[in-house]
Amino acid sequence: MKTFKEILDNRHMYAKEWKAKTGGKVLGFYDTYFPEEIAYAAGVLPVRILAAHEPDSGTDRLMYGNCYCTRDMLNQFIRGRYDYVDGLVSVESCQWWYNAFDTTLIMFPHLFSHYLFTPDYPDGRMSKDLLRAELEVFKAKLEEWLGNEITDGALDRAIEVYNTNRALLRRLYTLRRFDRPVLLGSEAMEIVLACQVMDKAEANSMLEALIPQLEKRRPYEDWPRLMLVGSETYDTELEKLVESLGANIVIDELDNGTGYFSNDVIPLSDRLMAVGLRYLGKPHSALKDNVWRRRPERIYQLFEDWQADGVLIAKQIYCHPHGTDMYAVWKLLRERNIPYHTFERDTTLPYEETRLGVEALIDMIKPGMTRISGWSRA
Amino acid sequence: MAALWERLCLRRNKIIEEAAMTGEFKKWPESSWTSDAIQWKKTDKIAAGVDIGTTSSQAAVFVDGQLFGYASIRTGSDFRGAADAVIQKALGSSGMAVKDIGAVVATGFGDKNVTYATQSRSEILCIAKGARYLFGPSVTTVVDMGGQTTKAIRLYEWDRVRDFKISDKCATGMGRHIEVAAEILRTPLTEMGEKSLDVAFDPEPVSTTCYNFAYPEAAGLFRQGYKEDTYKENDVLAAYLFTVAWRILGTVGKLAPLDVGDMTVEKELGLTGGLAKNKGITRRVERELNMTALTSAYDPQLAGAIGAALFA
Amino acid sequence: MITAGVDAGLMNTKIAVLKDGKVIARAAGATGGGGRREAIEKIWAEALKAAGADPSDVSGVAATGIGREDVSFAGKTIVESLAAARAARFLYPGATSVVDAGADQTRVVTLGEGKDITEVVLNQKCMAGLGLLLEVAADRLEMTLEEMSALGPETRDPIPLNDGCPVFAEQGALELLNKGVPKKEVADAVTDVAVVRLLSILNDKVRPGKDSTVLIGGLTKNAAVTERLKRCSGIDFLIPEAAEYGGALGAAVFAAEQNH
Repeated sequence: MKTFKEILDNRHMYAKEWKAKTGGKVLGFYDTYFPEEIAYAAGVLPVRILAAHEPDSGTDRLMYGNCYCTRDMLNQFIRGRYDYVDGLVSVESCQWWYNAFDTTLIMFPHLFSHYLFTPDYPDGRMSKDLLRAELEVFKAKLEEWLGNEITDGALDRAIEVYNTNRALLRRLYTLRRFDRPVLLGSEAMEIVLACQVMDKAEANSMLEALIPQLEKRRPYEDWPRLMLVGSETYDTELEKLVESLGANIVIDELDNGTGYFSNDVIPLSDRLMAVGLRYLGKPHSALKDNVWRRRPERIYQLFEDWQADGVLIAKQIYCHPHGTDMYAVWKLLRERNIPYHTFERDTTLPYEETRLGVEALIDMIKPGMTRISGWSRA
Repeated sequence: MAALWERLCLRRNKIIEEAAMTGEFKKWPESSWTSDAIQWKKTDKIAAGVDIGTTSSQAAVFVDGQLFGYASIRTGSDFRGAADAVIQKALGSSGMAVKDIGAVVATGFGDKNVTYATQSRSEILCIAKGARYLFGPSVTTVVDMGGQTTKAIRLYEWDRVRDFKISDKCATGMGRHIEVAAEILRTPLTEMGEKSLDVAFDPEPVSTTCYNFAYPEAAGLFRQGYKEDTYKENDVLAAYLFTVAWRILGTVGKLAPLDVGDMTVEKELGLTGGLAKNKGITRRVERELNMTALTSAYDPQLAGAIGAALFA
Repeated sequence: MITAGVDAGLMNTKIAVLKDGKVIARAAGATGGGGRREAIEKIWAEALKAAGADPSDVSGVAATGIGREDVSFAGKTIVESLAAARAARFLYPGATSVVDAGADQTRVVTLGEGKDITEVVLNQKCMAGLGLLLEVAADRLEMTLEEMSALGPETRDPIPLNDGCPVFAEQGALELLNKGVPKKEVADAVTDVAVVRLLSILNDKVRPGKDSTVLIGGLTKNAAVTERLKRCSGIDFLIPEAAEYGGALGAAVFAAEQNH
């Protein structure tokens, strides 16, 4: 497997090969609030459970009213796609994820499982001590399961690998900045998603080789620049749709996008505290953006930094955190006269309906832009 | 016992053919018109716009900036066939062929099925432009109520789009399913609007979550009609159409508010799309928004096609 | 003794007339709209004519279905689940469960001892209108019910369609049509949505017995759905002739019980 796209497309194969090669265990996780460093230090491969939009014949009864992404995560387990996963960890995040976690465990009770509480209000006074205590419990449970100790040295190495990965992903994202956009949104999303299902050390060496090559590319100039905000995505359909219309998604504010690598673990002698602070300090996800509402300003900051022309807000249908968060984002975008378009994603991208809106947004941004009949669609 | 049941059924059985969706109630008139006054052969520019929607398809042909012909037909199950048929119908017996048209702009859900198009434009822009043609310079808010989606557009300058909103996923199909409701409630589609306005008081809308909840609930109101003698057929239609109007209002309400500095209160509304022909919906939208819907000499369903033709 | 059952559904009303444990007549008609009460009375007259009976000969009438309170001539009403259970017991004394799939609702009833039922599983709200979905899709695809029904049990690679609710399924079908997918394949995909959703209700709590499950309701008229459902679920459904009259028959049986 050479490219990130191949790894993302064959992620189950990758994990199985990793298992065969190392003999280690695979731990599935849902939300990006999961402290991967601790699992990585224990020699476990943390693999993010991603939805794949396969035909589904039962999860609507088991998880009625939940979003299609989380329903499909359960569906993936039922279909045996994740038969190599040895354990599941859920953190305090959205209810649908928790339902997927819980229902999967009811059906597959043999899995190692842990529920890690991450404070709902990350900026709270007690939050860091609380999370540290939770991490300690998780670490002890992991040690008990694996039968070996997670040393400070191993934690340091894991932190180093993860910090490097984040730095590389940040560098990758700069390849779409205004002066020289050489990367497409779909490619960037493929890489970030692939990094969430693979060994970070391997990802780092691949990224180090890839980024200099990308820098030499011919830039995509004159393409309208869009920002993507909203629920998590597990594919690049939307990015490809935007690209087929002659525009590029240059920056995102997604938990599985910039939210995944924006900040690093700052080393402290208390490793668990250092890791905990990183996760509390990461850009708020919609669910944890309480009291101060930092997300709208952050979205505006990214919008300005990447000099985007308009914002696409893609909410997964039935997504409750983003259902409440959208209104604050709309308010800010309206106040600052930023063109935006909100739409709902579904199990698959409803193509023509979505295209209608995206097309109109692009046309609003770039008057006079026309497409020639017979264009190709990705 | 089962065998007995079958035998008996065969022997003494009178089954009235169950009328399911017969298609007789959902019919709406297709229309077309071709000018016989314009001498198209001597003109410089012939342009056409074709709007292939999910439920209906429209075409409009302009000769030197003047409307030459239009057609509005049901899309059916064959999008490509509808795209070919609708332009033929608009050209009528004028003798003009598709190849005589200099520029064809396609728009709508099925725009890529217009094989003879020279260009494709966003539906929102086409509706904006078409609404200007239909309703003149004063209107700034246009609501297109189509088969699958509702689109609310706020205009500035002549035909530039300041903001637009497309209905939620759960409000999908409201237009299309008025047809289904017409079949279930056994009321001709074209009479629904008038009938729903003929009520003593306007009832509350039924479930506004989605149309799939709406019509069993509307049909369920008949049961109250028998017991309490309150809901008659017209009341049920009123409750049902209010539900549809309610969902449309939800989309309009999400538009960015007008500039604070602009003290003029907007009074006029441009309604386009198939549902704009249903008075039961337009009156309720007008009432709730406290605005007046402008009328046009043309079929409001043509907005997209006319706008597309003006782009050509 | 003559009794009758009236099943006033979302779209159609079905009437079955029972004489001494035998069905002697049936009648049905569309009664979705206004004036349902009068429309049902008209079907009742047809049913009586077919049975060769006078209203005074009928010792009991029971009504069921969403419009059961519009049946002016019915002495009793019975909820749909119980009517379905009565019909299943009457037709197949050894039945253990009954699946009733109509235009609006779908229910799986597990039968207990005698007249009792032990469990009812209803469709979830977003999947109301499953039968209607097939009608709406047929209308959209410009196919008749016979053509939809003749699709047969076999599908090629299934095209996944949004199964969230009938609205999304129809929208998915539109996307396919727009891409130029042949009508028959789109119809296949829609049929699969109906099957998958029925399957999920069947799989919910109690798995119905393999050879002792009765399938009634209007959806049985679509052979493609029933055959695929049989194949996917592994249940060899007992489908009586004129299964759409199941609810009406159950009500008639109930009326007979009441007069004993």
